[in-house]
Amino acid sequence: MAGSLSPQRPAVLEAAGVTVRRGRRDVLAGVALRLGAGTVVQLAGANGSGKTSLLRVLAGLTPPRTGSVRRAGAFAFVPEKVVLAPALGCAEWLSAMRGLRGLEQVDWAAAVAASGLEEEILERPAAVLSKGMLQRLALLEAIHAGGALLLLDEPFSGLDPEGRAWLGDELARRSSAGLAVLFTDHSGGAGGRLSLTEVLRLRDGACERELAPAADDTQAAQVAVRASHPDGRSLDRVVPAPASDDLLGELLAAGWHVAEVRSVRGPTRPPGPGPHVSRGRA
Amino acid sequence: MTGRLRYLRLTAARTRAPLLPLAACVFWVVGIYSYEHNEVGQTFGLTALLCCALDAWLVAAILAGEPAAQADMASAALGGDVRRARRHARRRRGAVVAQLRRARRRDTGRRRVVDATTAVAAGPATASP
Repeated sequence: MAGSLSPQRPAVLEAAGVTVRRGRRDVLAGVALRLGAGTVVQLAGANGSGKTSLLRVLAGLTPPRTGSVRRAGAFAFVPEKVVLAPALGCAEWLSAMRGLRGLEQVDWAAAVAASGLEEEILERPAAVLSKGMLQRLALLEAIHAGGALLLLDEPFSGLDPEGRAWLGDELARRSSAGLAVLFTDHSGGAGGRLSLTEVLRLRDGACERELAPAADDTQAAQVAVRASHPDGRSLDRVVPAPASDDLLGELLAAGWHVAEVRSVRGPTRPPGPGPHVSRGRA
Repeated sequence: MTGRLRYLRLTAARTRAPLLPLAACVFWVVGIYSYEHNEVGQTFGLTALLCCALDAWLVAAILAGEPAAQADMASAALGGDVRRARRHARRRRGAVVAQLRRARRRDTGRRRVVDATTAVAAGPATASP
């Protein structure tokens, strides 16, 4: 039932005896957890196990049926499906959210460019942005919120490989500076990109604490891909296992012939930007 | 506070939800006052009552024009929905009550004028025993 996470660090989120109700059913009962500063925790569980419902309760968006939730300081929440008013300009929204938080404006053009989006999207209305672009924009706003805690519902699911790499790098960098992150990741997009402090698994209406995969295990979850192109180029790369699907899809779409895909162990280069077929050696 | 007002204004301006109640409101007002046999004074109470309901609809449309996901992110930025919902409910209740009071005051004032006029007109007859 309880997840006591990093008790030595100052708590940014504490929940005690929380019962989460969805409709007329209690999906979780007696949840107790404590998130320390700088921890990266994944909420795991099957579909319908209550991950999103628990996140919403922890974010104060839904009151718990029983129990209490205490957050220290400002925080940001990004839902799984980001929807903004269609006529709302991106720059307007970012600026208004900044105003809501009572913070000074930041150079959004630079921040947007750093996230891999085009600066021009700031002038566009939300209606013309894709799901992934909106999600990246909302994540950008949350990351720059300057709070102590990020609550993210499936942040990796709508992003392309470059977006996943950007988000993984940002979260890793900011968590090492003290930001606590609690996220769900059903797609497995975070695998190998984030060093997890702990995994909280929701099962049978309870919250069980699991140890995060060790760094060695994370490194062991690698896939070696060997491919050749009809024009004579060849490619031999080792990527984190969750990123292998993206790489294979990209290769096949570009007309490559995949000769071999195998699991490998041992350290490889740290996960960087998403795989590009142009990186194959001629 | 400025940030919150700015956000509300932006939400109201960037959603099309208030257009319908706004159009209805204008339609009622123009419709009532453009009817040539209606004196302004006679229809003022009726207009106020109608506008009260339409204004409540307008406020609700503005507040509901914000998509749920956007509202969730804004709520989190403000520290959680529970407090925000309470604030919104208070604001809505206040707006409706204020409109009702205003309408009632106008209606009562009009009745007093009518009663006084009637009393003055019937004054000599009722004054003598």
